[in-house]
Amino acid sequence: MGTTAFAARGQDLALAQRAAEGDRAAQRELFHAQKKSVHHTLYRILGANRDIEDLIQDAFLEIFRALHSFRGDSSLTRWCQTIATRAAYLSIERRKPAAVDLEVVENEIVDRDPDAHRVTLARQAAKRLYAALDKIDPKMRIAFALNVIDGLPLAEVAELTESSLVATKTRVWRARRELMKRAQKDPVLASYLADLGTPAGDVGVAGGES
Amino acid sequence: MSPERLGPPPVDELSDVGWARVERNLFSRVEGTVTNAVAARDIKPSSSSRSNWVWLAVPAAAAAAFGLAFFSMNGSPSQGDGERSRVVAGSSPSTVSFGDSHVTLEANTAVILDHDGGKPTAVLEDGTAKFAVAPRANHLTVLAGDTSARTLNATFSVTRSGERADVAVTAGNVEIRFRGHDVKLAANQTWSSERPSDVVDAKPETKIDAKKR
Repeated sequence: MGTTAFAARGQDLALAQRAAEGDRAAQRELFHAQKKSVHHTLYRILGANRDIEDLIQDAFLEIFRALHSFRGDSSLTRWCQTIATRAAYLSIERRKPAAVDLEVVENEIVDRDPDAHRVTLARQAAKRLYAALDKIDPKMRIAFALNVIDGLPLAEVAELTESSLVATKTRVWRARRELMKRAQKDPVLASYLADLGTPAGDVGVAGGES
Repeated sequence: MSPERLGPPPVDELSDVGWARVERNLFSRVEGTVTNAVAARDIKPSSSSRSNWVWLAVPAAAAAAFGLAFFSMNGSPSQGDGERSRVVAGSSPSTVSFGDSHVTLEANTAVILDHDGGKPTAVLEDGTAKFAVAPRANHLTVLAGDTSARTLNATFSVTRSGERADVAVTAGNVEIRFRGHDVKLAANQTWSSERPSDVVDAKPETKIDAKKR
């Protein structure tokens, strides 16, 4: 570990310790430092901001509750993302499948984004993708969303989902297989799956989960 | 589908108002006053569109505010059983009825009032609030960070600035709890979270502990 990383880890530990002791200022500092990455993780798994405010709160409550167990083995950001991933999993398990609504922002994007056409197409395709992901196993969904959609390496996905690398590979592979089945009647989804391409890391293993 | 590579859709960021709402509700839950997930819709303003406006106005120091910005109140504001409201005073003080109690907010003060099944609780987010509590069977509790002040009958004020809280009792008795410290204040006594073991007589300003010695 480099000097900079070592110092950052020390700062993480100091902040986590103060927050774990109930120091409200430290908890707010931690919230502001980690809120974007927690939101990013939740958004990539869920596909929209619907209900995400409550989920962010749930994730941070769990983060505050579990801070005493943070040892600095990973960065505080990665540790918080792991808890956010768990919160997303519980949320998906609890809720009934529902359509993902990404349409409300389309017009706004067209006006602002210079690459508006591509972004709009991506949103429309992503809407179909997340609707399909709603129908598959939550663990497969999370592995696929983090690896294929967000582009995280499999090793990092395995860490975030607290799973083995083999299990993670298998989940991504099975998720893609499930999605391709559903895409047989949906050319837009099929095209988008092809467009997303090969996920980060090797998924050429279709073995059983460990 | 276009032949160009689409890639993943961008992440839609939450608005500043959304983040403010998340932070406010999160720390209300951290402080133990709200046991269930509380979204903005659970705080019941009479006009939902005002809530966003007021939240934006507070960090802007209510520079353009005239008088008061109220949630859930028109004319003579009041708070009924089973309701939760966030009340924000703008650039001048204001008084709000909270059951049979009266709460006066000094300028730039924000408080959440919650009856919660007959257990009235006020969460002071920032600023100074003065409470006039008529004799009652159930405690009225004021939370300010890690400080809890409860009473059955008293007139007192609570000031919160960040994590610091100060309590001053004008009449009656108030019980304070702060990180394992329990103290009782009587009339004309004050307390601060900066020195949680000390109860100070307002006039003259001497410590009770010091007197005993």
